[in-house]
Amino acid sequence: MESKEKRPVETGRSQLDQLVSMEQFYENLRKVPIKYLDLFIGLCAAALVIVVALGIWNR
Amino acid sequence: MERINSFNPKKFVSDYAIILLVLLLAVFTYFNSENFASQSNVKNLIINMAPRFIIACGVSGCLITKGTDLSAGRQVGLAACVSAMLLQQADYVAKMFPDLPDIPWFVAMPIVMAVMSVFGAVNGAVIAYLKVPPFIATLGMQLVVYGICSISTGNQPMGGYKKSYLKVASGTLKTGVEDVSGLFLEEKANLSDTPVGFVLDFVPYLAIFAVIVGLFIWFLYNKTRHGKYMYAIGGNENAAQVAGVNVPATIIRIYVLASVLYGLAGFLVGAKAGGASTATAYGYELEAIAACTIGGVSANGGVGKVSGVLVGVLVFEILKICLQFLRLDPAYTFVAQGLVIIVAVALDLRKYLAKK
Repeated sequence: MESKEKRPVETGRSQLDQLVSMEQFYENLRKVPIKYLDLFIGLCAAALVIVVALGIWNR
Repeated sequence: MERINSFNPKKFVSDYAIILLVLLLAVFTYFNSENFASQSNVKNLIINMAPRFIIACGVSGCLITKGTDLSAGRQVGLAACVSAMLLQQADYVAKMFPDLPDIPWFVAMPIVMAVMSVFGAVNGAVIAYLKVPPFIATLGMQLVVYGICSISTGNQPMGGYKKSYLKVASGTLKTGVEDVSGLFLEEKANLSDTPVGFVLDFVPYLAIFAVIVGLFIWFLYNKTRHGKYMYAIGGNENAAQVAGVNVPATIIRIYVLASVLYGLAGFLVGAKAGGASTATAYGYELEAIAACTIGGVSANGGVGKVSGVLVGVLVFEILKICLQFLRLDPAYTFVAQGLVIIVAVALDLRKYLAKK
């Protein structure tokens, strides 16, 4: 006997609308080249080192 | 033949950049300040970590299902205030409820957790049934909880706790390692000038609570149906629903569990601080989310381990302690913490993009 297949409730919304906000945020950034992201991470890490150095300098 | 598990230094650095950065900072702090690696500092680190780890465990469930909980800090604050109301000394002049009977701490603790679970149930129901984005739903709940806290306490700080309640946070596991003569090493050490062996004096009761919660959450995430449902929802909610997962019930359970953990954390934070007010646990939710992200719990859902949460909390606390030991102005500390959170999110995003 075939079991009745459960299906998700149709909401009538588009696929993009169904993505939760966080997922949309990640999807929007898909076109960003990884090298730019690496550059951003590097800059943030450098900024962190500078902030700590400045904090030690001005204590 | 190409080795499948060959070590990739670039990937390793990319995956653990924050942890490596904070470890470098810890080494720098060790060589530039006294007492950084002392037993008292390790004990202090554990005491600070314990409630934050419990909060982060609660938040991790929300993050794994692509949600978040911005009301975590406020719920912890309210739990601390409720604990304060229940556990003030009978003869304390400014007791909030003078007619309240004497309640032992082990009775008050589940009461606080039960009260907080109501907020989690509301959060979960709003997210699961009304489809309100978790960011908005929990932001609203944050304000609601803060308002309730202000009204119930009259914006007055509370203190005068019973000693048994304070002992929950200040107590440590048996100090000293017993030897054959029946004397503790610490006692022996006090008898002579030369220290005798290693003295076990840095396992606070708070750590025991954290370990129990950690083990419970590990079991829940890895060995139960609820854990599998949770990861399935985080991976693909529609697919999980098609596979027969009761998505709304699972989401409600996750938020209820999170609030119960905030209740426990609030109870412990109150005992640790020796007082509570509406400002208690301010900003803890961001610390918890940051710790989870550092520990590899993806904000995009479906990924995260309890061990990762522990590492994230540890790294974030070490960062704060390093900056304190380096005697940085608090303003610089905030900037540094913010940068660490941004880097952690960027690294998480990088992992996501690299997979695509």
